[in-house]
Amino acid sequence: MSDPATTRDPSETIGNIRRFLLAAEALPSPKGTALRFAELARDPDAGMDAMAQVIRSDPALSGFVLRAANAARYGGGKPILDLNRAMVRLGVNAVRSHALAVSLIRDGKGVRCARFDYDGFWTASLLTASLMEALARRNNEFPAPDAFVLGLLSRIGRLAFATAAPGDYAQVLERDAAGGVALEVLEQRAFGFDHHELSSVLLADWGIPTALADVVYWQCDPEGGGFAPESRPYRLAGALQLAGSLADYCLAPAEHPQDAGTVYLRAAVLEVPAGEIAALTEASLADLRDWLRLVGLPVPATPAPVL
Amino acid sequence: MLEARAGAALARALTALDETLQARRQEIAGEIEKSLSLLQIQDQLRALGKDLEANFRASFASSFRARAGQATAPRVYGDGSAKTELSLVDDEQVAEELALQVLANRLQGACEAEMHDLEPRVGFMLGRDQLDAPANPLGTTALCEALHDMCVTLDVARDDKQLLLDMLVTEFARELGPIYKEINELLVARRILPLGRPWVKRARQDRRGAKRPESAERRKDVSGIIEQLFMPYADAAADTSQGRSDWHASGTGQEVMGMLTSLQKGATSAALGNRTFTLNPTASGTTNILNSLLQAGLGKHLGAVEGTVIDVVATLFDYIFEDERVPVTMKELIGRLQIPVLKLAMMDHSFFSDRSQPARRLINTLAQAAITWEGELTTDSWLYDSARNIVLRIQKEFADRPEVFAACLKALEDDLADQERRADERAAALTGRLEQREREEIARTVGQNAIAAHRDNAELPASVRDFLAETWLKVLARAALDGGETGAAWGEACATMEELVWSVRPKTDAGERQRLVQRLPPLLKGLRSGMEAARIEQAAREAFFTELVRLHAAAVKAGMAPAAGTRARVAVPDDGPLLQAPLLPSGPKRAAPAGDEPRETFEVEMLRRGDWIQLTDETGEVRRVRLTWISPARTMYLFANRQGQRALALTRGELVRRFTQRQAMTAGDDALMDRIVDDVLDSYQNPEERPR
Repeated sequence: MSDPATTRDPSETIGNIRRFLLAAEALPSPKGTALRFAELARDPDAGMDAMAQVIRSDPALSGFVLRAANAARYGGGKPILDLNRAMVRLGVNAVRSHALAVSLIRDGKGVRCARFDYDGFWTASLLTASLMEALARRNNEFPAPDAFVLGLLSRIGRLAFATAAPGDYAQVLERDAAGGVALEVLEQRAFGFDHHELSSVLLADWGIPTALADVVYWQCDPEGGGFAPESRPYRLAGALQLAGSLADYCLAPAEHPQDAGTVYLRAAVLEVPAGEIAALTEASLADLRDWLRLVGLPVPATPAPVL
Repeated sequence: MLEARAGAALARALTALDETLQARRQEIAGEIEKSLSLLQIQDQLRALGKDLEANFRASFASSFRARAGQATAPRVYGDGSAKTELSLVDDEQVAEELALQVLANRLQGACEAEMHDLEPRVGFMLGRDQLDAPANPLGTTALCEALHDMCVTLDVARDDKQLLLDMLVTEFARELGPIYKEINELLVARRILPLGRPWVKRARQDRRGAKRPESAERRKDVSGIIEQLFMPYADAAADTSQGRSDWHASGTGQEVMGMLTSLQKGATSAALGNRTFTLNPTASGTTNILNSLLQAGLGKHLGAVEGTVIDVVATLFDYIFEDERVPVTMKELIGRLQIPVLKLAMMDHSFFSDRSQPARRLINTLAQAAITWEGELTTDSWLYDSARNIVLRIQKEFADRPEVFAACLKALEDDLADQERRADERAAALTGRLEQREREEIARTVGQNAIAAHRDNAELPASVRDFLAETWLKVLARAALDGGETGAAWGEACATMEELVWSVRPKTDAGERQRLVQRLPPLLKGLRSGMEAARIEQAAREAFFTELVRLHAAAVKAGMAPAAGTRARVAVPDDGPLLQAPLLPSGPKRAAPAGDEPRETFEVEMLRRGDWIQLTDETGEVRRVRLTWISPARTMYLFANRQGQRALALTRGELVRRFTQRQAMTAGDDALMDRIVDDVLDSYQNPEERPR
């Protein structure tokens, strides 16, 4: 087999993005508890009891919801054990977001891409999600649950590459590990598009608001997206880039030295002082550990970043 | 100078003399013979006046050279030329020489004081210890010789020549004093024995009234003076054991020494024999108590040698007290050594002949240290304190063992050496600081040159220009100071400066923004390390980094892609709380349709979110779907049905194919209504086609 990272003609492959959509069934996707919960959330007639019933069917998720509701950031002081009250305190959207994350990661089984670090991917995605949630709460510009989901899925295109074309993507990742060429460029050479675009396509396909799909696409260069200056989409794309870069840098600073520059620049644009970046990173790393225990992923040693 | 000034004076003397002769002739107009004689002299005088100054300079130069090269006067008088052969001396020649010497003495007498000061200076310049008047190249004998040589050529009788020369010298003598005075002042200004030789003056004023024979090794210091004055007695005493006097061991000597020791230790009066010698306790510290003792009759108790000793020692202290260079405070301290020094000199006459004698060296060193003291020598200075301790020690410890002088001398020299060492260290430190300051100035200039272009660049933010001109200039200067312009630190500082300047400029495309992201970490690191090396204050660093964050954000935002106006018209459905602000994706990756692309490609390109299209499948079934999303790179098109449910996702290529095969076409709601209306209108215009 020829090297897809160097020999594939992009003009031949552009049309093939559809096969990644067709293969989406093999991707981790909202299903089970998350899907049922999402359906109830859209049903105006559904009551809180029905939603709590769905959560109760998943002990791990139930425990997580209760723990989150009792966390200080949700204003919890007096501990609660009632899932209904926990949901009220967290908000339906937050619970839905958390359910989605749990289901996605649990269902991530199937064809394996040899060079794709699944645990690392989900660890980084969870930290990105947690950072996005923290940034949304700080800036009070975006709903925190939506920001969490956006962070969680902002690089889902990479997982899609690994799932739909494990062999080809393994070679892309091998070339990427050798350094010298950006992953996005290698992906475009191999498939005609990169994981940013694939992520945005998948999100749109999954029914995520298309505006958010655009944001996911432009997270790599928020200034290039044609957003209005200081608009919410522009700031959201910037926050997404900040969260993603910060997550990568925290988890593997040696592998992502350029992310220090991205964090500095995005924090500058979003006017988040360095001190606050450090504080919210520390808090998000604490959340990450909870998440990783919940979904059964190894907890990496993550020293506090020095940016 | 002398020949010029003397030549001019001589010309004036000739004029005056001519006028005198003229007046004299008028007075004796009746005495024909005398009048003719005067006329002849007057005629010769005027002949002498022609080229007078040049002739005088030539003659004087000859006399000067003859003396400047030799220690004694060389001239042999007679026919006006120097004789190098032995010959008998005739009477006429002797008479002429004597007459010339008389004239020279007359000139010498007219300016004795000036010549007195001049001779040692000329001797000093010639390197001669002794210079008498005839041997002085600038002296009156040399002048008279020059005048004599000029007159020799006159065509008159010998007596008339002598008379003319006599008259000329008489007239000339009136102007000579100021000339020699001026020469002395000139030599003083050039530091040729500026203070004269006090021992000479003292010798002239000495109560003994006679000059002492001069030694071939005349000294300029005070101890040399003593040696000169004491030499006859010192030589006599040399017959005793190695110059050591035995007088002090005699009964009288012991009595005198005991009386002196008593005064040395602070007594204001002491008895000697049946006399009591009293010192004035209120007298100043510079009072010569030895003179007082002499005046009180101490000399009667002394032998001839000891009398001379006390006389000479008293003179020694006179000179010290009179020396204006020595500060009064030091004179007062040295003055307390009068009696100890007198005792020492009486005990050991080598005090006068041995220049290395510790007491002599001690006094010299004290005086010299005080003379070279900058500013007022106050009683709280270290030198005064050191000198006072030495004097007190001598007063207290010196009885008959002179070693205490050597010990005190060593202590003083150690103190001086220590102070000089400290001074050298301070000077070295000062020199080092000056050199360092100079290097810093140069480094700063180099730094200013490096930032000049950016400092004057109005396109740069003012805060960056200020930072470069103030803070980074210090970093550059430090780098230049540490390793020069070829050093690594300088290269890094310049590179960091260029990176900083580039980083704050607007970033107009994704590539530049990406490069900024990559170059920011090393830039920030370079800024931090540079300011650390230059010891920039922490507050200044933090203030700049805060400002830099703002500048970088502005640089990135300045390059934002403009909103696509055509997209603005698209009605974006409110998909949720995130869509309250308009989304204006421009799609920079979107490829513009090429001119030779099929029309269907253009149709796909014109599709906008919200457009409805009609799709026909292979079975002929028609579906109407709404375009809900176009991927940012325009590779994927998502469609939904009226219920908002996802209908299908088509790639761009698939959509173009369907448009090409007429399996897809635009079909908005308004177009359907238009078609129905059009159909109805057509049916009315074409009744045969109207449905029945």
